Amino acid sequence: MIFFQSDWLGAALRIAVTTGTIFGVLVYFLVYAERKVSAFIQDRVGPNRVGPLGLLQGLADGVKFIFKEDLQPANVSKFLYAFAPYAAVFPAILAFAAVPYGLREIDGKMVPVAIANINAGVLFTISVSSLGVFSIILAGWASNSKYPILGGLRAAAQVISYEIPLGLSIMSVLLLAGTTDFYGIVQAQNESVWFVFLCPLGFLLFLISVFAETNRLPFDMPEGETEIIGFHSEYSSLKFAMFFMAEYANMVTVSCVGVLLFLGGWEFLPGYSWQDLSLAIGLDLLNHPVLWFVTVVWFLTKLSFLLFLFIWVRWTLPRFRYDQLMRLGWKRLIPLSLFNLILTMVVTVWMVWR
Amino acid sequence: MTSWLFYGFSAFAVAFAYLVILLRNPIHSGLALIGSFFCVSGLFVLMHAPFLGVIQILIYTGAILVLFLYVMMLLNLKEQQKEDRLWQTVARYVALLLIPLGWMFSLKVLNFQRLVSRSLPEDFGSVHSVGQQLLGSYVLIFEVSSVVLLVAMIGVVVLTQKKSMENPR
Repeated sequence: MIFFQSDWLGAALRIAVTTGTIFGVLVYFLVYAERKVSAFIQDRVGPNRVGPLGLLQGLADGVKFIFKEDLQPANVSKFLYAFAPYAAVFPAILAFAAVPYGLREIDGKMVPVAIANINAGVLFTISVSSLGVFSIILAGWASNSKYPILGGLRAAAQVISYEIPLGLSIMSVLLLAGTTDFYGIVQAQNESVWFVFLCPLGFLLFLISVFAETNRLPFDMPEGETEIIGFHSEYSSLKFAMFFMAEYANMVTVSCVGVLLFLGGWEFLPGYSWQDLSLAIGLDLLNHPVLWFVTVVWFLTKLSFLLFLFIWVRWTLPRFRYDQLMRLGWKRLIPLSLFNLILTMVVTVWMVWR
Repeated sequence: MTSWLFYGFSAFAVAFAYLVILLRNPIHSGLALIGSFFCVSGLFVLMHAPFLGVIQILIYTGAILVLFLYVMMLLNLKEQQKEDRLWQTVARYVALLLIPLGWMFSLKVLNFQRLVSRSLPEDFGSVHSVGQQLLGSYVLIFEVSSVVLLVAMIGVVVLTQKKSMENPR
């Protein structure tokens, strides 16, 4: 097994497997779940023609996207027009590089399962996923058309605005945990309580701003059908599919961050860790070879809960008007998140002094 | 290995910086600047300062360049159509010659790549140690710069406020 002996090949394999899983499996099933859940909410059946239970519908859609004509309007800025979809996908994949999604044991030490285990993991993920806004700006501008540029301006303003409450709510978690390392944050939640109970306001702010960041309803102004046409209206075929996939990949990444920061990551239940479970069932899970499998599956369970919340909200709430969106962002969420941050500071200092 | 990464990042940083002033289209220049910032961030990581590297991307690329591109998009600057004067053409080629020379000079004579392979304390450049430094020995400079930023922020608010008072809606 030369693959696992060489560091480089091992890393390449790990990257390929992880990104392949995100894009091939998670995004695929997320799109499927979106359609099925929306059908359930609207009392329809949903996709049920292609394959058993319509499971192959995504494949059929993919083939459709590939064989569609890749139309390029006249007078677009050629390089940037082609570059913008990549600018959407690249941060979406790269942001996942520092996200751990399980726990395993190497030489008696607990190590998170991740592509790269970075000291400043939270900062890395946030900074890279904030680069996605470039694709919106570039796609709108490069299309050389009035509607996409207006849509791009609005979408970019929305994403930039909601990054502030997002960052501030994440900062409150960093304060509580005292580290910027995902593993350390999960450890801190294991030792105290999950941060969703310790700072529920922060979790709420995080959720709201994440909905706006990933352009999901109720904040899907950039791509809402009834709104002004969005930034990618001049795109067709695979280029459009790339924007589409990047959106879903972003959803997966931010949900992972949400699980890690607020829902205890791969930990079992609030106040009941894997250690307690191993004591209860008499099987030392923490030193068992299946540990990584159990934790990854548990992590995916929590992840799918958050992703379900995304879909649920999308098919339940109506869309905000653009001025309402901006008012909510700047006049409600930012002061609230500042208040949350100060409250967290006070709580942290009080806990240290006590 | 790290030395080769250093060569690559520094060469690309310089090349992108050259493209920033060479390209005619302001949006293309902005993108080249992003490339340059990415390479500089890679250099920071190589110099055992991962925090600075991430912050470089977070602030310069994720915030400042986004606003630059946003404003350029609003102004809708056109590509510069004017023909170059002779001295501009000459200056471009002289720069093309001088930049690799300067790069090699800094590598060979000033020996910059030693920065990536020096031995440092364990937590050098981590978030914790940067925080300790900022709020420890450099607390005065840190606070003064934050006051300067606050003044700028209040200034912007006051200036825009005054304008809208002169022309009430």
